[in-house]
Amino acid sequence: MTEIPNTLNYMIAGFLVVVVGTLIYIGSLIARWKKYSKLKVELENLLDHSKQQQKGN
Amino acid sequence: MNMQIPKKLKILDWFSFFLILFTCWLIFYKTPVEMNMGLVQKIFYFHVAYAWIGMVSFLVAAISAIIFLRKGLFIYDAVTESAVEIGLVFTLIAIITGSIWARPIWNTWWTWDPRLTTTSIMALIYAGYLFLRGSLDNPEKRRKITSIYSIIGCLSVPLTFFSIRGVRSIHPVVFGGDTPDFNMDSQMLRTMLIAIAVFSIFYIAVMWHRIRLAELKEEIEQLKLTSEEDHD
Repeated sequence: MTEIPNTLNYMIAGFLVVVVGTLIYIGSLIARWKKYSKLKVELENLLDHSKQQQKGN
Repeated sequence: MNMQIPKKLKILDWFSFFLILFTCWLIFYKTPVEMNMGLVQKIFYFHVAYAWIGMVSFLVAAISAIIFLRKGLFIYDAVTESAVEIGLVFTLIAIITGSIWARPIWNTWWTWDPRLTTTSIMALIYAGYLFLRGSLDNPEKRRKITSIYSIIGCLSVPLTFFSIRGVRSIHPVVFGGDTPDFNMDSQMLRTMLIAIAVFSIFYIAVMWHRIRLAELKEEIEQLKLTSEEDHD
């Protein structure tokens, strides 16, 4: 009977690549979402401020 | 645009998360260990699912690009951009896991086999798409040029898929192949199909999030334009 080769380390490495790669991408989506949400609020505030200034003039 | 994550998307997120856990349980506890390769063969279930979804994603990008060129609606461009980005991530993970799998089986990390070569070319083509997109400032021009690019780039998908069929290759043919030393039993085949289905659901969830991000980016571009007009 042939022995099953011991390839456990390669399996762990492959599994880590899948998990870490996927988590990094999800993390990048969350980071970009937060960045753009903040930027949107800032731009909206800027626009509101400039509209109020125009009304005041 | 509503900044809150829609309830349906939240449900889809959790649903795909639990399905992935279930698939991992199937892979590691319920599927038998392959006799010739040992435990490394378990990478196969992720590798095939990621490679398959990567190619499907590039097809989605091309179809969406065609619709965008016909209708000119922003949402189709957002779908193309999202599908290319996610497809590239999935493809890169498939390439790396394939390389790790190859090391103990082929005794090398990399070989210029037709499948490996065409997959690398496909990944480079779509990396080029993202660079091109980032380099064009005019939104209208950017959308049109990158749509045409993704349609032409899609030619690499069938080239990759058929690269191991009818030519000499050491890469096993999973779908409809008769590769020696690559005989899956029914449990392995079932797990592989479940993994593909589960990661497809996960792909839909990620696509939804990525499209929402593209919409948010578009809103910011519009706000910037309004702000510039106000200053003028």
